Amino acid sequence: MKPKYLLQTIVLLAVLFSMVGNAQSVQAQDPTPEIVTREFTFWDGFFYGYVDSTRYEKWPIVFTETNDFSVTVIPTSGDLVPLILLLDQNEVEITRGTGVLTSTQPAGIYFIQIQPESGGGSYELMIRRVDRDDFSMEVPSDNLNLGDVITVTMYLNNVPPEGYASAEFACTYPPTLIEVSNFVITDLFGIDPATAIFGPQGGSFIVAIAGSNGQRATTSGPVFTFDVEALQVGQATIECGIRVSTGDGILIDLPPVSVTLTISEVIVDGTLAGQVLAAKPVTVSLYYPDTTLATSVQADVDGTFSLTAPAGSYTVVATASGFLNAEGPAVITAGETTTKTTVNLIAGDIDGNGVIDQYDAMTIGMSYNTAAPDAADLNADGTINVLDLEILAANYRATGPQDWQ
Amino acid sequence: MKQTAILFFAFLFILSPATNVGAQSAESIWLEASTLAYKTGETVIATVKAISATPIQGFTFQIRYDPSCLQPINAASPIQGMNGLYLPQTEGLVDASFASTTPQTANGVLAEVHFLALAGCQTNLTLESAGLAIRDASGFAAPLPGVAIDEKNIVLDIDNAAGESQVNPPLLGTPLSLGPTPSPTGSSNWGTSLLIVLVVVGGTVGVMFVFYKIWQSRSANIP
Repeated sequence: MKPKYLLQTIVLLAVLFSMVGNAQSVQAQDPTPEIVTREFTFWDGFFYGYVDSTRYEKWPIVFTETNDFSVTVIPTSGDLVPLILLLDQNEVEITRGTGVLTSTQPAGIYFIQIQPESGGGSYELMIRRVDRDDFSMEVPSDNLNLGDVITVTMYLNNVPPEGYASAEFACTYPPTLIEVSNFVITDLFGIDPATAIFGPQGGSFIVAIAGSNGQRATTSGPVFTFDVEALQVGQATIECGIRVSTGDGILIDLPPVSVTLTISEVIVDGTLAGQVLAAKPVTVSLYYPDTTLATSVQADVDGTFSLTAPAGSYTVVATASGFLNAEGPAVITAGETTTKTTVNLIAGDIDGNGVIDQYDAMTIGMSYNTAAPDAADLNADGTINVLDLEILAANYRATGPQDWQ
Repeated sequence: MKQTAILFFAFLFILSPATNVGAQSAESIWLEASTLAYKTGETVIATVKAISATPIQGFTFQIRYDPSCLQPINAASPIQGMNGLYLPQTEGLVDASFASTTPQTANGVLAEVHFLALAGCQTNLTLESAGLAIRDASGFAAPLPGVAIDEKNIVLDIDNAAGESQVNPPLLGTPLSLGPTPSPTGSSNWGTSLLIVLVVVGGTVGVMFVFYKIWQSRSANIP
């Protein structure tokens, strides 16, 4: 090969390698963003930064105990859509959020990394520790009967000294089980606050309240109330989220709260009254159809009694020591008093076996002129004697239970 | 040695019947009659007997009879402290119960029952049910378990011919009447009847007195 051709070949190769080398150089320049560590953060402070595709920022934070907290990033310039990443001390991602991040973490070192989800620009960062009790929902009772109406009260608690300029409550509920209505705004945000109520519709509503003329909510207390009517049997959960603002244009998420209402059939009591005559104290008992005891009461000295129980069908039984039981049906009607016919208990069933027989008589004979067993003292005069035998003889061979209509 | 063995087996032989007795039912009740043939008008005596290893505080028995042949008169127990409990009777059935405030031994006659032979017939006395009673821990009369009823039936032959006029033989113990039950409200019925009689008589006398006064005044007005 002539030197001229050799040189041309070398030049061509040089040009070729030069092109390849340039291409490799472009690939190596794919921008790995610089992650800038900022200063340690503290609760409720505002921090400012700038991120774009080449620059991310991470803010260290140290927890000495478990904390519920929220991180809010508000873009202040550019077209930044901020992405918030929560990293552990080894910089492994725990969770992320766009604009807002809420989490609960135990004691330890963490990093809050801000990077653009898109665009770039300046931002304002706020890290706020939230109290689980900052927002609460109270109901007078979580057990309702069908048709019951209760008033639910929403509270703001632990309001910071600078107060809240506005709050937004977004709630969901099962519309088939409960009906929500009658929103009443309190004056926690001052007189005549600006309010907007969306819904209730399709199982959700939003209530937004802002203090007018610079008024703020500076104390804890009820924000608004609404009524809930129980429509169907079941369990209805009302769940509400809340965002508050201190007036700086940042909405802070507070942890959501919920309340579960148990709705039951309407159970209204009725009364069963009557009179059972016996020389001994009488107990009147109500039994459910499955023979379990519903309730019982000791009759007054004159034998009158009154029992209260849920409406329904029962068996009523009157008992007295030494007497045959009286038994009959009892239908209790809600809100009404049903009166049974007066019944005289039959004396002589001393051993309580449901029949007045020779063994009852023999108990009197064996216990003659004593006071025990009490069941044998049929006339309750304190002595078991011929008078008791006379009473027994009058009812000899009778069997119980006595029909009581 | 041989003599010892013989004595040992002889001893076992002697003991064996006693052991058998112990294995039998400890308590039983039965019905007896010393005489089975009577004449009309005579007193028929049936005896209820029992054997019991357990002291008792009461007993009861029910004897079925034919009311066209027999009429129950009374019953009594010879057991000390065992008192009859007067209870309503039903025709055709003697229903007798006795009780004591203290436990008593019952081996032999529990009670003697007297009937009057009404007419000539061949009839049965049947011990329909019977029981011995103890007092349980709560103070209630309770049947002594395991009591067997042995002889239940007695066949009596009553001649239609009238027997000699007979006084009801004395009973051992306080007699328990087995006659018809007086109405428990008898005394009040008597009172009511007496009141009615008094009202009727008083009313009649009053009316007569009024009529008498009217007649007297009219007689006085006659010139």
